Amino acid sequence: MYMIEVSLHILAAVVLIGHMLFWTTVVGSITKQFDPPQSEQMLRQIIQRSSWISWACLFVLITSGIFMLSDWQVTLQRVTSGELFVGRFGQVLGAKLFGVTVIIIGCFFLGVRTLGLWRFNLFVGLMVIFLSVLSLR
Amino acid sequence: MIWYSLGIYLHILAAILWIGQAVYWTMVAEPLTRGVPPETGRLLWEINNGLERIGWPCLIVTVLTGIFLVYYQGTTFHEVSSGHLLLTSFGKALGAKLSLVSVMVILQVFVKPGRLILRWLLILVGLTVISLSTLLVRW
Repeated sequence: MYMIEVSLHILAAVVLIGHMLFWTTVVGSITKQFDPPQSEQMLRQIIQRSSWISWACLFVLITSGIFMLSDWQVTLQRVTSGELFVGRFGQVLGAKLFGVTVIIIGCFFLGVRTLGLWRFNLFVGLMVIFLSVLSLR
Repeated sequence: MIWYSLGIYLHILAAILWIGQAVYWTMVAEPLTRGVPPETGRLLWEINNGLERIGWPCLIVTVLTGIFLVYYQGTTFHEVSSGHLLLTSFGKALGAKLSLVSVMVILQVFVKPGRLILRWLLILVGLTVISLSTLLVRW
């Protein structure tokens, strides 16, 4: 069961990074000029239509993450009391959860003219992956 | 230890960028291009063709860091060449993973725009490799 949770967690991360990488590149390519101008509206609609994938991935990441923490005997009481974040693992996990929160907030504002935010979200995503590697050790 | 963590991070990062781009384009972005004006569709295809160029550099980074990680964990060339590595459970899982990576390399050579079946096969094999990797981490 744990392996399924980890596989789903990683799969969701893979698709989410693919999503952010693709649209960061698209928005970066067209941000200088929209030719014809109505293509901006078209791309805005496409980005909105594809945004469901990022929300679905975040849902899978958070849900599988909660199940994984439960397998590690991390209780809600340890999280709310702050006891979890005392050791190295807890601090790395806390930083990772902060990064995921930043990504979620960023997802609300991503659009055709927000290249900086797309790049920032992608960067935070890559940092969360780095923190995940640290938490493995 | 820092080199090992860096090796793992680069290994995972390269794999995620490679497979993530392929998965996202095939499953999400490419279908979207069918319902849009031709100029917009052409733009998205051009951008994806540019992104697909990361495939080979990511593959090279994945292979090189993979060799480094296996060596760092104490596996010698003799163990690999003599086949002793494959006698252990870890070695069998690693052997399966490396076989699938070889399949991915071959598919990467033949994957072109329009070859949807090959693209889906590449994704399926890539996701299987990821699942095997999660097993190996726990060993």
